[in-house]
Amino acid sequence: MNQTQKRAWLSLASYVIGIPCLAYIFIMLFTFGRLPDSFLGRGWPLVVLWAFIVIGWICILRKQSPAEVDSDERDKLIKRRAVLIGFVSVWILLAAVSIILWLILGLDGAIPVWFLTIINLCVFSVIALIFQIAIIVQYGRSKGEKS
Amino acid sequence: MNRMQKIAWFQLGLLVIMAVLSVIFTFHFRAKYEYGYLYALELGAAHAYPLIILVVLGPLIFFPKKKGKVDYDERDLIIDRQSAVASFATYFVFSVVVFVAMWLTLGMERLIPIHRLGNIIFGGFVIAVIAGAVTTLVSYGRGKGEKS
Repeated sequence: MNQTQKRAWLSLASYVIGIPCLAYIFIMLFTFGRLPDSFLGRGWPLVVLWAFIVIGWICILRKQSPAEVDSDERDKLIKRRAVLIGFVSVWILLAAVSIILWLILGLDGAIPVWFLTIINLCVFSVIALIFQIAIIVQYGRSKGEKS
Repeated sequence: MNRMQKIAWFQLGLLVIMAVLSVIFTFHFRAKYEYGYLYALELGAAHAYPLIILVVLGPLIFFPKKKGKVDYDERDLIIDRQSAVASFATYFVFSVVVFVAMWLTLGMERLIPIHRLGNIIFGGFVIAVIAGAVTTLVSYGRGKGEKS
């Protein structure tokens, strides 16, 4: 497994751990207006997540052998495709958000200004996830073709 | 001039036509119906929207990839990736600047019409296409300068 793959898996794992934690915090804040006095409510999962990310990055940056290359031609091609997939996804997602809001609220509907930031954050989080998945899928496919 | 440069010039040309049409329509709506500047501009831009379809689909129709022919090399791949990253980054910066400006001018709780979100996304798309096209042209121009 090369560095690009390792980074993609680490990011994906961070998302898998982080999204439920953040979703829990948001739901609690919006539903009850405060965080419960529990392990999850005290923000420990976020500390664990950050520790996981930092340790993961240290492991990735340390080469397994001196012969390990950072990236080759194939990695560049895979990254380029992943960037393009991410770029196209941005517009599809943003268009989908606009259309869904139109359908829910109607053409004369209105949204608060703070909601725009939430839309932006969600879209960019999803794009980052799509980028990592695109990398992993492409490596998996090329591995399948080889065998 | 290779395929990517032709596409970049094509997209920039179309966006210039769109901008000119938007301005013409804006003045038309201002003069005929006496709308406010912002509303007239939104309507004017909306009348130029359909051209965006050509910006997206035009490259596939007018500059199709030739089957069985490899018309790109290593450098083209790098430039293509750079332009996609530049477009993406430009949109990100644009959206953050617009949203922060709205926070500061309107306040967090103020409601904005839903069609304005579409306009922001559309504006962001136009800016991202410009950034991508300009990055492509500048990268090729720089490479040419280094060669000579």
